[in-house]
Amino acid sequence: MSILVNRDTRVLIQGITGRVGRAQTTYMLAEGTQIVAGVTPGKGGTVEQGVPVFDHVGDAVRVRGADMSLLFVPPAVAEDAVAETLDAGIRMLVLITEGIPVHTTMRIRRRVEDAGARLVGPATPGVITPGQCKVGIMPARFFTPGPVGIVSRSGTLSYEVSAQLSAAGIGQSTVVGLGADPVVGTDIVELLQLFDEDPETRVVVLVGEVGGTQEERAARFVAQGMRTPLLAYVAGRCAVADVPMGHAGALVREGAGAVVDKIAAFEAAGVPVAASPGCIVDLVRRLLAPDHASSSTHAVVT
Amino acid sequence: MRLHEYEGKALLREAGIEVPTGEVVTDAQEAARAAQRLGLPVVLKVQVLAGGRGHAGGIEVTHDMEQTRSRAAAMLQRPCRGLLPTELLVEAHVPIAAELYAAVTIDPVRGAPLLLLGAGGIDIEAHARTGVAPWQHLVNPLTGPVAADVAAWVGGTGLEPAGELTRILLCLWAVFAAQQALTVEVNPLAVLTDGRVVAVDAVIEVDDTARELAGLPLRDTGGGARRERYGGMTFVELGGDVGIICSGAGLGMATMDLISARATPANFLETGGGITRELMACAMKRVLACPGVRGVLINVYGGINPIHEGALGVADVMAAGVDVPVVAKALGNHQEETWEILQAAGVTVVADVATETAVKVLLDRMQVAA
Repeated sequence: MSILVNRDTRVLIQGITGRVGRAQTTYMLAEGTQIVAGVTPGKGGTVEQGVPVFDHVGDAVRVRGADMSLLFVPPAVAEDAVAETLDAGIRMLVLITEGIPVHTTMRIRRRVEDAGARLVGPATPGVITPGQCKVGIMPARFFTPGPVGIVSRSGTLSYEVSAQLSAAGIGQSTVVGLGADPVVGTDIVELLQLFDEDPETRVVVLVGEVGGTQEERAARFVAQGMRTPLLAYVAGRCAVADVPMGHAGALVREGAGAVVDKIAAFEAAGVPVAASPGCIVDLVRRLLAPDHASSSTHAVVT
Repeated sequence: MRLHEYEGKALLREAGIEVPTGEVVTDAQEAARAAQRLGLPVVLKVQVLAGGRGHAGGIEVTHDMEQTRSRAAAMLQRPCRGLLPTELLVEAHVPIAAELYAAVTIDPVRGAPLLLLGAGGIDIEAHARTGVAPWQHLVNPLTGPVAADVAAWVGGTGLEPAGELTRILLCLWAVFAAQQALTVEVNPLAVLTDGRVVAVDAVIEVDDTARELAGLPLRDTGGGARRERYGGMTFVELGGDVGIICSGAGLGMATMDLISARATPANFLETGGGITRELMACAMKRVLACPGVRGVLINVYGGINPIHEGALGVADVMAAGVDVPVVAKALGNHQEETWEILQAAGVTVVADVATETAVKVLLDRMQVAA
């Protein structure tokens, strides 16, 4: 098991013939991802690395069938691309694009919600279930199959943490990048819920950073009864919290999101906090130890 | 990017919200002349991009010409919240009967715009802590606020004059949408003794990303740490001696945290997802231009970034002569090719997956005490 993607996921790639789309398609195919179609307006009828390319998402879905779309599209057309994807009936989207204005992202998110779909991103590295399916831009060599779920606010830090775990012989169930923008499609708590329901995820690592309230809300979710053990790392101890301008931000965002506050929230909820990325491996090892597993409702029975 | 109060007020006025009459001045003589035109008493407000000016002595009421001149001169010579003002806003004093708070902002958790209305004044955050938080009205970003819904919501708050407050909130929305703002806030929104409702302050922050996409310039906000942008990369000078080039803000902050245990970062540099040969050369040059930099750590991943192309840019700068140690941890797609290029250029390559190791190698080379 895993969350969001697995070996049966049929992936459509929007922007497959662009410079980034083409390079990333090569890497994803090498990981065994089932890429069933690509879309680039004006390139319909061509073939990219064995993948048939269509002008419209609707045609691609009708002819090839697809569960999920991965979008490499410029910021200026992201909203139209998402609308077209939803119209074509796809209900799971991963939006890699960086640099989408937040007003546009709010409209995108609302379109996704209205359609009852799920969006990961924008500004995300995507989702990988190692050994089965990679829907994103993460370098696959650092990911190995195993019991650790990772949800990360930072893309490259999720690579670092996965690489250190893999080097220590500890694999990952699924690794998800939340997206680096102030508004994203899927909330951190939703991802923790999904990991909590996944029987093969035995420990979840949350990679957080200064600012926002994601870590505080994650700590609250743990306090409310998350069963799978969670541990956290928060980057940006030495950074100044990005104090929102005016009072409106502070009132809505419940504070400025300093790292010390996040660590305090985790500790109050009983979540171990790693002092540095390198400390995560030892904490995970401890949480995976048999005495911990036996106290977990997700104890693996062999 | 935050706008100055007078810029924000101009936008509010264009949108149909009354603001006090005022003039922007740059010296004490001008302030006195403006006061004469506007009629005393006047309010002097330093134009710095920081909150809490009222508590920091950045807002004063003056009652005669000489007082206006002397206070204006003092205010223009004194930093407010660490920022030295170059401009003062001189405004006609308005007789306030009640102070309200009105804003449009973004709720990042629900991912939608939010209208806020409540009691105002300089202690708004204290109100929130004691449970007198503003009323909230979530807006569908696809449709914008529906006037009848806003009217019903404002009516439910009991705040008066309800009709005018509804109209003002819809005007604030118009500014929020047109400017692609993160926040449009009026505090206080003053109900005057004659019943008029006037925006006495204006805090508007616009989305940098939207401005960049539209090709509009960003302005230095005058704060301590200056944020610079070059082709998708973000740079902040920090004054220490360890230069940093990282792909990704999270990795960059984690790297800074590790360095800070033993030394002080010279900068923060995040490349973004668009590494090219030119971008990495530019990054190297900018970091090496930091005064006092004694070593550089490159910590990048080849995910979306072609790090082997970026390595060529690093090599270009190394070829021109670099007299401080440069250590690189460059992992991911094309890592072996990247290592070859960097090693040939004289960069120390760390093949370990832990940033801890790369930091240690560089700081040891720089002979920083452990």
